[in-house]
Amino acid sequence: MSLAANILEGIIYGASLGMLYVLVALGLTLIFGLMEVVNFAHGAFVTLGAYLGISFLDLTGNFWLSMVLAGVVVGVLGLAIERTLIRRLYGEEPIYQLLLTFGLALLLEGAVILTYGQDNQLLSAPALLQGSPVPVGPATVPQYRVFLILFTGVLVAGIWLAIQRTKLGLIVKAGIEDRERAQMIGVRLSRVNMLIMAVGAGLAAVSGFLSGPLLGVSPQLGTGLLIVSFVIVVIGGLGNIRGTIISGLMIGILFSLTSFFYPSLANPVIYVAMAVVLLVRPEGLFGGVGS
Amino acid sequence: MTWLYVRGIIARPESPTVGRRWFGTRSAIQLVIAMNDTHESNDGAQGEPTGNGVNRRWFLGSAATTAAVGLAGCTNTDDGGDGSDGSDGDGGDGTDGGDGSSGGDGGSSDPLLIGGLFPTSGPYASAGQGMRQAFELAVGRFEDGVGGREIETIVRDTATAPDTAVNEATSLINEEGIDLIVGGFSSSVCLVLQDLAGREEIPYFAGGGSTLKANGESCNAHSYYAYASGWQFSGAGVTAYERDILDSLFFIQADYAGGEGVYEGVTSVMESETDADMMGRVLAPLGADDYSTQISKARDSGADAVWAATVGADSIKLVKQAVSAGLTDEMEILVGVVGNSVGEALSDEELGSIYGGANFYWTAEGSGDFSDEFRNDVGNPPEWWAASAFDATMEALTAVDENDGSVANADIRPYIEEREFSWSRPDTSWRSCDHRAVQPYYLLEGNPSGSDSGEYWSIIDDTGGEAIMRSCENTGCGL
Repeated sequence: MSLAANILEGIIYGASLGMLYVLVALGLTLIFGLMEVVNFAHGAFVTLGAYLGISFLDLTGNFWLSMVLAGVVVGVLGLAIERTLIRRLYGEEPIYQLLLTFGLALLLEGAVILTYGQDNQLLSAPALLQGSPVPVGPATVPQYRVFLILFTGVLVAGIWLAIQRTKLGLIVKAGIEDRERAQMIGVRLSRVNMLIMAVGAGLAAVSGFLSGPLLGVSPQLGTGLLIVSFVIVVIGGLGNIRGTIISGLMIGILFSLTSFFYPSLANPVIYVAMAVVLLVRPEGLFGGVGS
Repeated sequence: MTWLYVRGIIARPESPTVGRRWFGTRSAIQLVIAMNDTHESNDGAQGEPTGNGVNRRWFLGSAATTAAVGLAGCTNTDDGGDGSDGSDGDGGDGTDGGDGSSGGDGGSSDPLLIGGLFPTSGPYASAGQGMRQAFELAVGRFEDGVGGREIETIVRDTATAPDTAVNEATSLINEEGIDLIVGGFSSSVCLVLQDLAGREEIPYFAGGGSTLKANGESCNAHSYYAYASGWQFSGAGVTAYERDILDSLFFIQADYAGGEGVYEGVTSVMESETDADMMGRVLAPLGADDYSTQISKARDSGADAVWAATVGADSIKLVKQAVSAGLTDEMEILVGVVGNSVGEALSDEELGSIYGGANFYWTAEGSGDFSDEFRNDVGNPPEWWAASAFDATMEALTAVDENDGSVANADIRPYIEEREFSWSRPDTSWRSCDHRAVQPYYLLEGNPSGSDSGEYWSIIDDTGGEAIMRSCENTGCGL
């Protein structure tokens, strides 16, 4: 295979991975941007989504329905957590939020382990996407990766449009821009918080489920994705949705290409990139809050 | 004036839509954004406190903490699976080798106190639980005690962290007065435990660390490894060559110290024992989510087989992505260390496309009694780490029993070094020059129809003996 083909493959494969990161990071950045909560439980939503999806798959035999159900159930769980726990800590010292969300993460992960055990679980791509890899220029790409790019691309585009073009999106942006001022003029952010928590948790769950055929499913699945998502949110700009999407793709591709040329640097390069961005543009590549 | 205007807008609500009732009016919200654009406060961006004090700096601090925790987790991940990390454990300096003539309370009639150290929490809790269950099974076989001494056990959690392990072991030695140590999972944990055992002159029977260091420059006379090192993984390659499964080999190697040892061992043995061509290698970051570039390089290598020197979850990811990319249509894949924990996470297609290596599989001839007992007790077939903990405990207790209850290394060592045993694996013996077990290493084939019976792998054959071990002269151990 030529170098060009290798690079093209690296870009496409990295993009598919990056889009999974974006799904997780979007929820993280929205929750932080709007609610000012650093949600350490977000990784547990990823894990929970994957495991619940497997259970739904056992029950229904339908991959797509299972993905939706996992997203909805975890979304409702996120909503309930926001209503019953997190909302009590708005305005309190950040350390309380940290303790709460970290505790929730441990609790949810423990529940997964108690229910499903510590062992890795089987989650395969749907039969429809298990055929031979498809040629993309000089490269060949597994069908599931092509699906990941297209599906998550549509999903992310939908979220983007919803935030840019709808009233709800406007409210979210207002809340992210200036929470206090928005509340002062009558915007009821408490309800938006609830919605965003549900959407963020649901996206994390969908990401977890979609990761399964690529990464396997273990109780640690969400932790790994959460760490990279933190990096993506920092690079993209806290609360910046566009920045999160672009930096997620960049990180996926950067990892993939570095892994090809300098495998030993593939893990550190992500953190080096974050450090460089913090030094050069502390507010993130795409500015601070905003779209 | 501005705020009065804002109030004015709020005072004139638009049509009663659900959105407005819930959230407020569109124009009011737009105004907030416009005001923010005009009077840019840069709240989050500049690190100024917002609302409850959560700001960019706080988020970055949290992110950094998470990354640090995660990276620590990754390090532990590296240790897991085959436990062949080897990282930077301080090991011993060789000076504590000696003959271990002191230590222990030889011939005592006091209860024999064994310290069991297993990772019963953290990412390898599953392995730790299996080891603990096997440990208890082994102790249960000595209902009447050993050498006239009753057996008492104290189990502590290492969390697969070297510092935790050494703290717990030190506490067991100084506060509980244990006579010997069994356990440790991951090379880095085993190395610190064997170093401590050497300094405290207490026998240590390791449970799960395949690093070459343990029986090399860091070895000591008080430490015993009753299972294969990373070098011995090569047995699967030799068998695969002899069975015409491969003639040439390309390595996808996890980028860590233990992976380097496996690569060195397999290439060395394959070159000395077979005519297979070694076609190079590519490193893969530990804990990587994406193996596409490694798969591309394997495809371009011209080899007819890939050796995956990866462990646990990394092996699962690699196999899934390789099968999905069609690599198994072009070449064979042999994963150096597998077991049911890998098999059960693979689909029938994935399982049916690969080979694996193992120092233990529960269906192997000679593992029957242990496997049956474990399955009856626990419900699942044992994995290699459980078998290793079982063998380690059985050997420790047998040695004490045969030496009239003495735990002095001066008594145990000569006895152990002459022994052959077959507790969970057939045809195993101790090598006196480095205290590593000489035993067969299996070549397995994925068994797609075995998921119901728990037999995810079928044994093809095995290769064992010292031919697949580093020669005593080259270990650097000097026992």
